[in-house]
Amino acid sequence: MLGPAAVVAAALLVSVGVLAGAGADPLAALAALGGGAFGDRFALVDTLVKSCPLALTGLAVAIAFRSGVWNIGAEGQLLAGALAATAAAHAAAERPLALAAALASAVAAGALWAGLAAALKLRRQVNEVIATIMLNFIAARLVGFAVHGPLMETAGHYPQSDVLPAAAHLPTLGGGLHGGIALALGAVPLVWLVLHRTALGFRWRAAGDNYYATHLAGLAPARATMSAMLVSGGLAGLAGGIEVTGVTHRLFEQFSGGQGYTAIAVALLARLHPGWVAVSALFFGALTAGAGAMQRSAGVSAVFASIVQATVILALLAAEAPRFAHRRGRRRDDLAPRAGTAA
Amino acid sequence: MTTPRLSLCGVAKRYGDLVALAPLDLALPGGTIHGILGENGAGKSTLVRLVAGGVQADSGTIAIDGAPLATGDPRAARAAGVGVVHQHFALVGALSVAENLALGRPESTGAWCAPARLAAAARALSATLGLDVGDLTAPCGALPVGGQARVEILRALSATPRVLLLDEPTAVLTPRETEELFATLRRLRDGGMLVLFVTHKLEEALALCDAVTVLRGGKRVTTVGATDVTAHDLARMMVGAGAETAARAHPRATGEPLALLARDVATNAVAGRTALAPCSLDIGAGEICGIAGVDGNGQDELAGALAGVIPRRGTVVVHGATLPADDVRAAIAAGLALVPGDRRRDALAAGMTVWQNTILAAPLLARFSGFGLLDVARARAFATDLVASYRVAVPSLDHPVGALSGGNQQRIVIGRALATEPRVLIAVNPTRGLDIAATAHVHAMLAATAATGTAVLLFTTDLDELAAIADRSFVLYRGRLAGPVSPRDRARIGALMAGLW
Repeated sequence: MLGPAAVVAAALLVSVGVLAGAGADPLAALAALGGGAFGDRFALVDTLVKSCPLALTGLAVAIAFRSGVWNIGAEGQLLAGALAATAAAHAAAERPLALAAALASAVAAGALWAGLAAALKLRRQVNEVIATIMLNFIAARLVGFAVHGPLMETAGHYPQSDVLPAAAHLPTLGGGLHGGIALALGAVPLVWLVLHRTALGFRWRAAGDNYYATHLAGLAPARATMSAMLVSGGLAGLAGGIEVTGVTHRLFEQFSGGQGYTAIAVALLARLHPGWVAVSALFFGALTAGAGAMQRSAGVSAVFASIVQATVILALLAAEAPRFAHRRGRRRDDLAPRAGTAA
Repeated sequence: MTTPRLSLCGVAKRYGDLVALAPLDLALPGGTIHGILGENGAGKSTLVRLVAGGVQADSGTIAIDGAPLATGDPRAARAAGVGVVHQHFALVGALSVAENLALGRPESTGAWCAPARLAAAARALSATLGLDVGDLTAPCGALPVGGQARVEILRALSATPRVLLLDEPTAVLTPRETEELFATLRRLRDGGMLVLFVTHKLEEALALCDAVTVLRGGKRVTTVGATDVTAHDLARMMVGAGAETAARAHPRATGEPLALLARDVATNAVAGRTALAPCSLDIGAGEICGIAGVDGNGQDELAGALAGVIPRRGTVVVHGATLPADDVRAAIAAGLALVPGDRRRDALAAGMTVWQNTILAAPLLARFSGFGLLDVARARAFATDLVASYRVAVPSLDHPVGALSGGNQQRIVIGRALATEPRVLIAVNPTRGLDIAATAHVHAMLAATAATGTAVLLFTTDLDELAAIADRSFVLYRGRLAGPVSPRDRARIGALMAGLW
């Protein structure tokens, strides 16, 4: 089984091949990419800002997957969070707790959005993969409706919301870095703690490993599924809230740009471990931040970053295939020889 | 001297520090049945996997009829004529019995598989080999474990292998089916096949095999002719010292307070389950009540209905408290603990560690957490104690439980159930697949917990077990409870198990 580092290396190698095939100078392009991600203070800040929502949504996905719920809906939950934060911020206007209200609403909306999928799964046996993907579309349309309708800017020119009242802006840490980074950084150890040091996290992981045995143990795996999805959705919603209060300061269509989907790659590359999610989010954040610089200075389309991302995901899935086979409950005959090498 | 059918030369396998099989030399001629005897972890299953291509040998060579066999390649093994009946079945649950039998055979490799043709082939196979597998159109996943075992055996035989490996095949068969299987195996032997029969049932080994090899701790103790050795000798060689099956010294007197009262407990036949006709049972505190019967006659249903796992009708009362139907948590809270028959499917989280699995029970998780925080240090200390007192062989507490042997997994499951200090313990085939020492240990554990006043309801297919530890017994046949009958009245129990009321 390949390690995550080997996966990234393999993906970069393939991407270099693609660059060369397209007639670009791969080394120059990669250098531009690296420079755009880490080259100077601004690049570094940009990378961190891009990594922040990926870390939170990556944690959201990791929690759900560890609990055996295939939450593909971080995108929709992020959008629900951003929408709720925008609405709450405008409603609170310049009152003192506007920011807290916006972020709390974001968490609640994300949790609600994921909770819907969990309820459908638990009550009506609707596959959560399908439910969360459908809810992603609905959330995107809701955002579209909001910025064309109730939340449309007062000027009425563009389908976007007014700029949030200043009281609802996340404080900056200087150099364009917003306070959301601290929240994301704080969430990493917190999620680890919940997963590994609480009874709740134990039930999540048990339900994710053997749902029926967890049921027989009296540990109510259905409730674990629901609570895992609520927390997962809450984190993704928080990511949306932070984006709107810390980065864009207004809501518009195409607000997310698929960060909730990238989150799945972030979580898988990190092998669902919270600590590695931070590292993996930084990697994907750097790719996004570097892509713009690469387009400007090396003349290579920013789409190239998407190619790298996609290759990483494919390489990851190929390398991880045996692990996912385990999860589907193979016989011990297949498991035993690999037991020593399992993460 | 002719070339042996199967020869092993210095074949060895390690998993990390664990020597699964020390270098082994073995030369077995065709036309014989050879028994492989040993405790759990003795290396039996490793030997099977090596020959069957499931794992790669660290050193040594395996040859079939003199032709070397690459290890670690199941297809090469199959092509060389090795047929395997695994301890854990390799059946496709969604496919029918007939389809499972056809898998990998010429009927299924063509583009067109007519169900009727598959069924006809399966019926012919079943008739030729004298193994009845029941409804050929039923999905295998819906069959009871005994039925699955028969399908698995039939499938291995269908390829007419030169070497047939059977890994504890009789655990789930009735005595009559076992006899039929033995007759089949003898027929195959007389046709020149080499049969490797892995078991820990000494009488079976002696009755069936021409010679036996005893393994202990990954090393061969001896290879002897079956006529040159007694069951007692073999038992001593397997466990190292003379371990006797614990017989229950003091059957409980009647008159203890009623621990479990079941009135007209019944289930519906849904999703491949046996319908349970209304059953009534009273079990006193400290009593061990046995329920005998061939697998699939309603054991899982009765156990599940009592434990609140399966929807039921009727009344279940534990120490005066009526349990709501279909509510596991209420049953557990009332002091009822279940040791399920399928530990891997129903009792363990295979990917989680040993210590985590030792607290995978609502009362224990509650005991080792406060204000929602898990007290990992105390939980690990508890796991250390449990592992030590139930003699679970584990490399470390952080080892995934799925990688342990069946016997060690079972000790964890039973130890965990007993650690919840249940007032009623329901155990379904708790010693299935366990060796002599582990079985004796489980029996001692059950007797000890009964001595503290726990009522034990023991579902078993093993009449020796029933005779050894049950105070009273019943028999389940096609979802009906017959009895009570003395646990030591084998003739009567055998008749009831066969449906001769």
